[in-house]
Amino acid sequence: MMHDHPDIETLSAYGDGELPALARTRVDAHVAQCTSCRGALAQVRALVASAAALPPDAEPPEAAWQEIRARIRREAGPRRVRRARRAWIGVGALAAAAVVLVAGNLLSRPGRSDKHFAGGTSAAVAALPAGLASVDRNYVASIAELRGTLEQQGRSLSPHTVRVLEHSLALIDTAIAEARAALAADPANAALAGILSAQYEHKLGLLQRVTKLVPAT
Amino acid sequence: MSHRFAALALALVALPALASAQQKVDIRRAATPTVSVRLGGHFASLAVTQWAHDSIALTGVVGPGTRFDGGALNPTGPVQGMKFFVETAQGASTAGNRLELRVPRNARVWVKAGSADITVDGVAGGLDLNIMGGSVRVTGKPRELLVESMDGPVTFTGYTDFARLKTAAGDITVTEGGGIDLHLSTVSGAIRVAPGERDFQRGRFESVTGPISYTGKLDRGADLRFDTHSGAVDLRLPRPSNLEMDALTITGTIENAWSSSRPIAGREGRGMELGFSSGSAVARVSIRSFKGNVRISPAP
Repeated sequence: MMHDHPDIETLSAYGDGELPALARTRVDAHVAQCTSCRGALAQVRALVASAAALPPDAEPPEAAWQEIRARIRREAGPRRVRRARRAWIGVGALAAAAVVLVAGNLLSRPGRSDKHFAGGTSAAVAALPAGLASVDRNYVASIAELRGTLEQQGRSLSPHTVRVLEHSLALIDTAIAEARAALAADPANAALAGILSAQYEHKLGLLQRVTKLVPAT
Repeated sequence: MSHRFAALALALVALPALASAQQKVDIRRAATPTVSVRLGGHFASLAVTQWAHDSIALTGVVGPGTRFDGGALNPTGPVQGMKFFVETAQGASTAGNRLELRVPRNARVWVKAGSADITVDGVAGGLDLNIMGGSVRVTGKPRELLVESMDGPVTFTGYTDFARLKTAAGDITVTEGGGIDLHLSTVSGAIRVAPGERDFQRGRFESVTGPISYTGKLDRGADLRFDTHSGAVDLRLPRPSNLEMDALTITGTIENAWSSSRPIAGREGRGMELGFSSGSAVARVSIRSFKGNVRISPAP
């Protein structure tokens, strides 16, 4: 029997019937005995169902992003007092929600296997399918809010820290551009959607980390 | 909570304002076994060690132009919480601000510093350590370990129930390590993991460009995930091991020297995928990369 609670991604894969047999058996046993995971599973299934029910070009649920943005504001503010553990759980949860939303939009779209893969070197902003682009826009909006918070605090950062931050952001932005380009060419590729989401998670996490580390003024 | 802040206001130790010369720090108080200590500000080094006393001692020196402030949260009885702050004047050096903190074994310690070398040895309570630069080195079995750093390297040796170690450019190294739930994340630093006698139940290791290496055994029921964008993933696992492997790189390569299973071309002929089960497959390993190369080989 599984001793730890499965994470949200595992529950999502379980709900979609994508887990390998052994892992599925473990989650079966755990969910049968764990009320909280049964509740989480029900939420994941409801989210996937609502995302999958969207028309291909529909916006994802705005309420979800409002909650995410509100959470970022609460947890990344300059006088943040909540425990760091909760903050990381928050970022993980929002990234997981984004994965589910991306996956939901992917599942609702027909595959486009005739497109050529764009390769991994393009740093240009690639156009995503409308369903994915709306998710992308919401990520960008959340990141912009964090950057705004950071810019207000920026005078407290040392030049060295600013250099480290900008270099790290540049690396992540390059990774995002590459993943976007690849996903634009292969929009039904769920693994790519997960990789793109992971880069956004890196960027959100980094910005959140810096806002947390900036000394209070 | 207002009575707590009132108590804090009463209990804070008023120390000299800006020191014009180097000053010694020597604060000692009886404390509860789970005392919570918060220390923030500008200092060059902090050494935290546990001792077999129900008391805390903060000692060291701070240099000219430094203000040291803080004290106990409760004015009477064993201290339940203490809070200290080190502030340097604009342009003053922090190099001379060196502190040592001794706490009961199960104390909880929170630190936030600009650039500091922090070492923690033997503390079994929760640790929450945050730095811009410098370094963090933790040894022991903290119940919970949270470390965030920009470019300072983070090293952990020991066992913990819950760990979140995150950097931008700093390397993350876990040696002789183990734990129930670990999440290591970096943008460009290297992640190096070598489990000890007690290894990991659930591990997530992720980077953007930094390489990730894992050398050692897999626990029964372990669930390990490796995610990179362009960083290489290098796993060195003992043979035989009971594991279920699921690896994918979108444009990179996979080399499997651990088993006879061969990777196959990925989606639409690009990249590679590898999946196999060995033994009763009680450990699960998942690898995802955009263009990083993956290598799986026997542990030396």
